[in-house]
Amino acid sequence: MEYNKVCLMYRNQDCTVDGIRSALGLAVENMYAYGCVMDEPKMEKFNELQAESLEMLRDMEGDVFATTTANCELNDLEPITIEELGEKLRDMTHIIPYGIIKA
Amino acid sequence: MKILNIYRSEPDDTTKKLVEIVTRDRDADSFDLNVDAPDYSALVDKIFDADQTICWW
Repeated sequence: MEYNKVCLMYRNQDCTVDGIRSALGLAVENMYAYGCVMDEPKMEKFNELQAESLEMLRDMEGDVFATTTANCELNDLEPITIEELGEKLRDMTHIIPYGIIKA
Repeated sequence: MKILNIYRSEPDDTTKKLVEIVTRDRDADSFDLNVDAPDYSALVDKIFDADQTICWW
């Protein structure tokens, strides 16, 4: 059986936590779901529920990456470069640039 | 595999880099929604013609 692989990419802070929840929802629906916090958003520290969402996503073989060291260290996200993300996207069945970019 | 890239705004360097990697060695088409009067009929044709559609920011 072929499983869908989905990657959501977040480029503004307002949609990051919401987007991670969306990835978790897709994982619950039996998809491989990943998220990536892109260059700009400076995240806030996850609260207990948000950290739990990330943990659940990882339990279901998904993950959340970030392209900046600050976001990785703050919320225990996996580091990834834009080039590595691009290569990962080649393997996805669905690619979702999530939300809108705020000027 | 044919990939359709739809741009909702002018693609910046990050988007261009990702598109370049994702479409490497693959057929690719694009559609710009960031114009005065997008040809939605053509867009529908392009979507049906593509194996994968990515609607960038």
